[in-house]
Amino acid sequence: MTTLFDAVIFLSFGFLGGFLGSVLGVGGGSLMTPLLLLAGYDILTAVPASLLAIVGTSIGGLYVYEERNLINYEFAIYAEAVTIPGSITGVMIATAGFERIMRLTLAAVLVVISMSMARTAVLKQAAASSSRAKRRPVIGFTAMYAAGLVSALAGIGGGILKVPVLNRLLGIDVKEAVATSKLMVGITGAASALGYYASGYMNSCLALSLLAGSLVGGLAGSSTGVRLSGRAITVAFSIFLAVMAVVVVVRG
Amino acid sequence: MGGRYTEALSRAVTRYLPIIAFASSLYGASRICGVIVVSVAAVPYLLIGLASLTHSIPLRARLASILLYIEVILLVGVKYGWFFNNK
Repeated sequence: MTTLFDAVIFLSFGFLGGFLGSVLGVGGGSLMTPLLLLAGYDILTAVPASLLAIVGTSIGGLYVYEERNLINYEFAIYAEAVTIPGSITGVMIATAGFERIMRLTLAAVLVVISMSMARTAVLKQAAASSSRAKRRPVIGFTAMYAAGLVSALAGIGGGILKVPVLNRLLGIDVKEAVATSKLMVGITGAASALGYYASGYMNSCLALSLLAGSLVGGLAGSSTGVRLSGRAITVAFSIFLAVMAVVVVVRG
Repeated sequence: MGGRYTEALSRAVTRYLPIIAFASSLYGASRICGVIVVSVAAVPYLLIGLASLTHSIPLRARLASILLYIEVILLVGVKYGWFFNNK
């Protein structure tokens, strides 16, 4: 049963995750999932709730990017066509109970991307904000499949993987990549959430409380996020990834 | 521009959903919460559908968007046992 105390706590977690997720261009699940685990909920309760909240964060921040015409729908559709099968695989694996392995995999992925983004931001500042990398679609779409898998297993939106992949492997400008990732995170999160709901693992009322907070937090954060420069987003993003890698390992 | 519809839907969800979600969470009826959960999860797909109809994106991308719906129907269908007898 969901008590008033639970509802308020998860509303607060949702707000925090939504705000930070929106500012940094990620779904916020990488913060909400560890918080839910710390609050004593098991991973099969935390992950689906976090995934639904990610959908709220995504929708909440989307119109800000839509106003500025930053969302690349074409790439979002192509990428999601391979990301959703990844999330389907993730739901299948998670409901079979393999989350420990995925925690370690996720931590490794976070560390690698964080180091890569930090190096780009610090050593090649000009290239990070405006350059379009050489396109490597096969690697890019394979990484998108992995992003869907990690998203469904760890309760994150996958934006932490999608932004670098869109920017570095699919050749999209970093601001456009952040905006497109915002939409993609919602689509992936929704697919995984529906999978968990259909499997009977979703605590709907708890998830909605988290969603309400994340929507309000996402709204507050999105206006701040679009004012940051491309380089600032990249630096903030790499720090965020490093911190979350530690959290993922510790919570396991 | 087609983006107006997407923007309006996003704004409407942002404005009203927090109240609806939190109120239903406090009410605690799992069936009502479940209906809202499924409705919320459908919104990103509605946004993609709107975008593929109203934005100037290539035909192959519009066709690819249909694949997204098929994939989700397959996921939910497999979990509910629509295609195989799971139990």
